[in-house]
Amino acid sequence: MGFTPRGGRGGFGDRGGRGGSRGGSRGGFGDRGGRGGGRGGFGDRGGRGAPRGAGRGGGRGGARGGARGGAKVLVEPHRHEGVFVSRGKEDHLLTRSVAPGIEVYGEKRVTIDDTTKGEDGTPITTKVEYRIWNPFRSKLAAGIIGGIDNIYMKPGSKVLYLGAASGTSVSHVADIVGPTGNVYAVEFSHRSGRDLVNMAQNRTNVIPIVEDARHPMKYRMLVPMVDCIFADVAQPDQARIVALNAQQFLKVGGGVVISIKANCIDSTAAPEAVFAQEVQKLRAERIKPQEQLTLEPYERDHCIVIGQYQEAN
Amino acid sequence: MMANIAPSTTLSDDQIDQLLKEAEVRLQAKQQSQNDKAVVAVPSKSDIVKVSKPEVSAPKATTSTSTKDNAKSEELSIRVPESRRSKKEMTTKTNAGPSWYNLPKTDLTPQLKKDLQLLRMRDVLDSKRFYRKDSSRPLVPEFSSVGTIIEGPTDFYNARLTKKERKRTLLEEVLETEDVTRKFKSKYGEIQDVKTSGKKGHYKKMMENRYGRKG
Repeated sequence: MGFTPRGGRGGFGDRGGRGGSRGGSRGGFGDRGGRGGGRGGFGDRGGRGAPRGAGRGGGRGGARGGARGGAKVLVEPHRHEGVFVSRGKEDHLLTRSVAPGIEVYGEKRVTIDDTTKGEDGTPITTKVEYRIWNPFRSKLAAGIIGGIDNIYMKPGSKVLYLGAASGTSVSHVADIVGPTGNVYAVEFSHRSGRDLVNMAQNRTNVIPIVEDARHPMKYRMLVPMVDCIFADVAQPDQARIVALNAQQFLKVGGGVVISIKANCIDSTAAPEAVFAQEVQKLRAERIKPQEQLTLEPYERDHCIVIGQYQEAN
Repeated sequence: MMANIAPSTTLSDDQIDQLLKEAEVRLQAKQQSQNDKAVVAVPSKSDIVKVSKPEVSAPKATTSTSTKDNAKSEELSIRVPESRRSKKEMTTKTNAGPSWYNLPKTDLTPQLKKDLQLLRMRDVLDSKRFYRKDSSRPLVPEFSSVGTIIEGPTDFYNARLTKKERKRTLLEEVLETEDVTRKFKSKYGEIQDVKTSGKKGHYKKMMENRYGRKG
């Protein structure tokens, strides 16, 4: 397919307000509110454990609004492998939890009890649990709802996740790749690295790495060849960081999914110009851009770029 | 749609079925009238297939006779291309496979069917919420299962339903909400008030609107 920047396509339902900017909107897809207020710089990703920004930002309206505990929903497969959708009074994106019964950052879950008769007639109950993936908190979720064509992650994949922060999105990626896959989550900040490690304790397919992603040689012993690199590092030299890691770990034909925050690269230039410039940098590093998608209703001046790693010629 | 719904306990299954069916027909008629205004009817996929079928089989027959001997062609029978089976017939899978962690095939109980009908018409339930049109989806998804939402540990009490509010199906939840809020009933009342008031004041206003004079 041709490479053309796209505007955000319609998601499933009405998108809730963004953080504190637009009060009172009732989210159709995903939780309302989301991260309250702006985020800090590198490493300080909001939302750890705190009773999420929703507080009075988007959450007014009493009993109405987001899905309420106890409500019934229908779980269906999403177009992307390993991703699910729940349908009820509103729609949500879901991932099947690899650690049932444990929530990571206070997200809602969907549980399905399935009772089957065993061989001796005793009922066997299997509990399957899905976790709601909030597009206001995860850029990958925002991209999926926006309509990304290919996320290069599926059950069994190995994913190198740069800029893992507290591991909220990482936990969902870990759900997608499942017990047969692996997520190598790199985070520089010790503070959020601690949360990342805590999250990884319940998820055996996550390998937390508290290191600087600029120096892939430091963690070369931990990471094998991967199918996909996801980068959310919000650094001016983001393209270079991704290229260094791709050279080291990414297999040819593997996917590169980068979330770009225009402000972090160049706060004076127009966002579109910044995105175009970053895409050019990726091209120079043998990453063939395939898609560019703005995360507009969920994040301001952000975009996701998806590329494929090319063979050296 | 459900203006005259009494408390849910008085509704039988048949009545619910009937109501859902009526509502569907009404909504469809409404949509159709909107579509008719917008575009001329486009032939459906099945129509196209039907038309093109004889054309496909004809050239095959001629090529086979021209290349082979006449004697042989008598023995050989012309293969009539089978009509392509629909997607539904082709799949005999019991679950969605490892890509979706073996999500089971939809177990279409009568309750679930009603819920699915309701889901399709959910934009009526809350007129202030926007739902994307999903008319392209089949009514019954191939793979699905019904689950319950568990609230997060940090959510406030209004993020969960009370024990009494919890129901077994979406339909029961909707009926329960109507019992509590009486939204449809009051809306129905509002409209009826306007439509049926035939008093003097109403009559005068109507005549003024119509003829610009007091009648």
